Amino acid sequence: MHLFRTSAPWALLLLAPCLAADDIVTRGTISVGAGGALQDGDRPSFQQIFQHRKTGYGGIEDFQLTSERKDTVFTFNARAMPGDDNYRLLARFEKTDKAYFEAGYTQYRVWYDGSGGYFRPTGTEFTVFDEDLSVKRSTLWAEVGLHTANHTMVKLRYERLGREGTKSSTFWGDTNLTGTFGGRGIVPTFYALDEVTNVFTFDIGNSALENAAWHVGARYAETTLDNRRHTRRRPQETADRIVTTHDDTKTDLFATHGYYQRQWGEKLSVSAGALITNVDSTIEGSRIYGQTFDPVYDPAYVRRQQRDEGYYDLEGTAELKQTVLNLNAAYAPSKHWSIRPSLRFENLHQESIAEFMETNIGPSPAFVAILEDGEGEHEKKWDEFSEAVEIRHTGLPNLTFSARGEWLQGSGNLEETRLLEHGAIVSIDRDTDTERTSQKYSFTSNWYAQPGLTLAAQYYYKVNQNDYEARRDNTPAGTSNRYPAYLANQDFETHDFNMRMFWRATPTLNLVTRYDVQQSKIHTGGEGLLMADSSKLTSHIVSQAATFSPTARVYLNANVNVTFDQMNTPAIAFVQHGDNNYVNGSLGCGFAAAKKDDFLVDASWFRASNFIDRSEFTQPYGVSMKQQALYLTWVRRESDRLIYTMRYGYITARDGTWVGRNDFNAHVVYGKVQYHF
Amino acid sequence: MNPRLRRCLNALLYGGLPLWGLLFVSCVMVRRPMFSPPQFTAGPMAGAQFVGSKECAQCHEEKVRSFGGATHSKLLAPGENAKNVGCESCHGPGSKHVQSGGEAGTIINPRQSPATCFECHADKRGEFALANSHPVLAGKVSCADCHNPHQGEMVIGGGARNLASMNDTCFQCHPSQRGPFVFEHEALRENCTTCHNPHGTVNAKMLKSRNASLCLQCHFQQQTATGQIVIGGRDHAGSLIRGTCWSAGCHEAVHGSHVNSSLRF
Repeated sequence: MHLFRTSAPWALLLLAPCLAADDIVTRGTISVGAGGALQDGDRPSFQQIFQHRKTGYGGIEDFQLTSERKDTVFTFNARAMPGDDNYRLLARFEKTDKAYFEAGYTQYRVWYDGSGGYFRPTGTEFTVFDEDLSVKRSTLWAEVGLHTANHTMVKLRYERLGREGTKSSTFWGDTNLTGTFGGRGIVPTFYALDEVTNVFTFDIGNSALENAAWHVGARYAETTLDNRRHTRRRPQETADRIVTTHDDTKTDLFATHGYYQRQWGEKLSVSAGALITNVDSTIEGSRIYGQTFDPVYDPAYVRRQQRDEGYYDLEGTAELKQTVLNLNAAYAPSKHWSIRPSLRFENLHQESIAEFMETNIGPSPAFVAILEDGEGEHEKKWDEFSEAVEIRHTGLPNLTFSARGEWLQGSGNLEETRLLEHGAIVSIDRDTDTERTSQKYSFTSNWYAQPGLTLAAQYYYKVNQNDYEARRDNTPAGTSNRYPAYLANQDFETHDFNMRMFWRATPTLNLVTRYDVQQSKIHTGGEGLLMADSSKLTSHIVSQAATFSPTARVYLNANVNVTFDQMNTPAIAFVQHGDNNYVNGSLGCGFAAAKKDDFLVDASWFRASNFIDRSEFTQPYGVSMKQQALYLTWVRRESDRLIYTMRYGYITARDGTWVGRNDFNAHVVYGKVQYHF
Repeated sequence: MNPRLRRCLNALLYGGLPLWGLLFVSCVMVRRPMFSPPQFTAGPMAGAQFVGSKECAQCHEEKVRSFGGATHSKLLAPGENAKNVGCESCHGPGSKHVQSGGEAGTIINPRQSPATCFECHADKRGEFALANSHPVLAGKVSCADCHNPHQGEMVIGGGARNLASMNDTCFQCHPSQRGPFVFEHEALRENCTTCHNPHGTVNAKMLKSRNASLCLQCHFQQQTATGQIVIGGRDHAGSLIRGTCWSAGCHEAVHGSHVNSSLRF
């Protein structure tokens, strides 16, 4: 908001001379709107679903101005919607084929509902902070581009990306207030984020040459993270405490890339590219228990429990060096065939080291604080080759075929070390070789069967195979640090198919039908064990859209999505399947009621019914929810330049998983005036 | 007659009289067309006609030239039935845009509204309508932030033809997950989509599953004893009942840790 306020006067200064000159063609649009809701029920839930502030919003929804002279164009675009914290300010001045300068600022807010879980047998639930959470995302940028006489383009850009605020987390804390059922993790947790990235980019290239194009660029990005996660454990008990996990990382990324494309005749085009990336990070952080957010470590903290481990004074560095080369070609041996082979090579080397003070707790009843100097190190080397070939055929009228094969071979090594007490204890000393292969085969076809009837189908099969060999591993069996050396093999296999039909059944009726099916299996082999089918994912999505215009003055459109999505686990005795099924749809109608008046009716609904109450034996989550919304909109076109819009909506949301805690009803109103000038 | 049905009929006949009257009057008086979104009924785009992709190349030469390698270019076909497939399949009729010399607002810009994309990718309309999705329908995130419809692979990163990896697409907005971490989670090497569906799911954080079945898809192993659920060689039967794997201090650092190999925190 501050940036917006400070940028606005500059934008007006830029604008004024453009509007004042005589030989200028100026046109644009301004829309002023406001909206709000009268709500009954859980307001954070309303905000998350509809992404509008519960207390309303309003302001300049859109302002566009284009001002043209003989060889210059000035465009100005703005939005200022307080309430939703949605701002946009963009000014661009362009001297045709010579240069341009643009600068802008955008900001929006994303809302989250910070609800925790609900334990049905005892009706246990917690509200331990204001669940009205939101994160502000912002981008400030300035860019200048110059065209030389031979159409070489030089571009400089500065960008500042920000992310700040609070958002919900699924890292829920635990409670013992569950009768005789034992502890459950249902206490809500939230993040406090403050992330800033400054990006400087330089690009130079020419894509207007007769038979060639080239591009070279560099990018420097500096990221600062100051993120915290606040977890409350066992609230309303004597062991009530807060854990603050702090990530204070600074990263410098420097990347250079180049690209060259050459065309030989009309049949062959070859391009090559290279990317070199260096990432250097300094790492700081802590995880400390206390009675408040952001506590200082206290070894005598009175509510400490036996497993309240953490760390502080984390200091470390991390480096990543990546080199990527690729080579692509497009060859058309005949009019109807084209072949596109690609090669890619990636070399990755990363290493990091972190020192920290580990805070452990001795056994009950003394819970003596135990401090240990700790250090973790890792070094990873990775080489990866990938190849792809795509063949397209367009020799048959109204038909296209394409087939593509992709292969990947990767191999690398990971060394991990964890030391305690300045190296006196080597708790982890591991050296793991990894090999990875991937194959993917895909087929695509489009058939324009007749005017107004299109059929399209796509299929792919993909298999990834990962083989791990622990060359050195000192972690004893039955302890908690066995991965990744514990893994011997892991394979992923996916079949994916979709088909789509667009059918103009009559001149007034368009139908789009789409069916997507995907089946994935994961096979896992642990150390000394046979391969096990560790997961099977099945997803079917049927989508139907219809647009019907019985007369020129009326349209009806309807959309329905029916989704069956299940993540089957063989551990069904301990964990329920991940059911993610839902149905949602919408129905819209537009009616030109009078010469100046349109009426629109929009309805939408959503239903998921996945909740299975197995609270006694396992975590019961599966979403059961219903939402309905109905909107009535009146649009009055007072003139070619002036349009009024009024909307009223009624929304209901019913939440079965959380036994109504996130339910709400809302009356929504919205109005807008739009003027073209 | 059923009293409830009678009340409904009465409401429809008498309560709806103003509505019926309005319908009647407007049917007689009005001849103006209405278009279903993303087409425009009014404004600078109303009444636009198709002009063909060659017209677009006059100003957008670079886009048209690179389009041959794009995933969407597979839609282009010879033949009479496919003659209108091209730039205007997604951007709508372009005559007003051409006449105005490329003025903003005279042609459909799918970056500003996903309705165009949903015309073919109808399944994504349903996913983005879920409570846990990137806010595309709210206009805060665009399909084009992750996808490039004009050039190369459909996802901005990933595949043999791209220099950037698929995860780089996610890291541009989620830098805290980039690492590198002292103790990494191998799942990130596979892909962020191992655990998340970026278009939206019924679960918080767009997770593909809300319970431990998400982790067990990779961490389940052959079981050799009844009554146990051994993961990494250690029985987790007493832990799984308490919540998800990543809750309350067990394996919180799901994207990687600088401290624990077990990704505890």
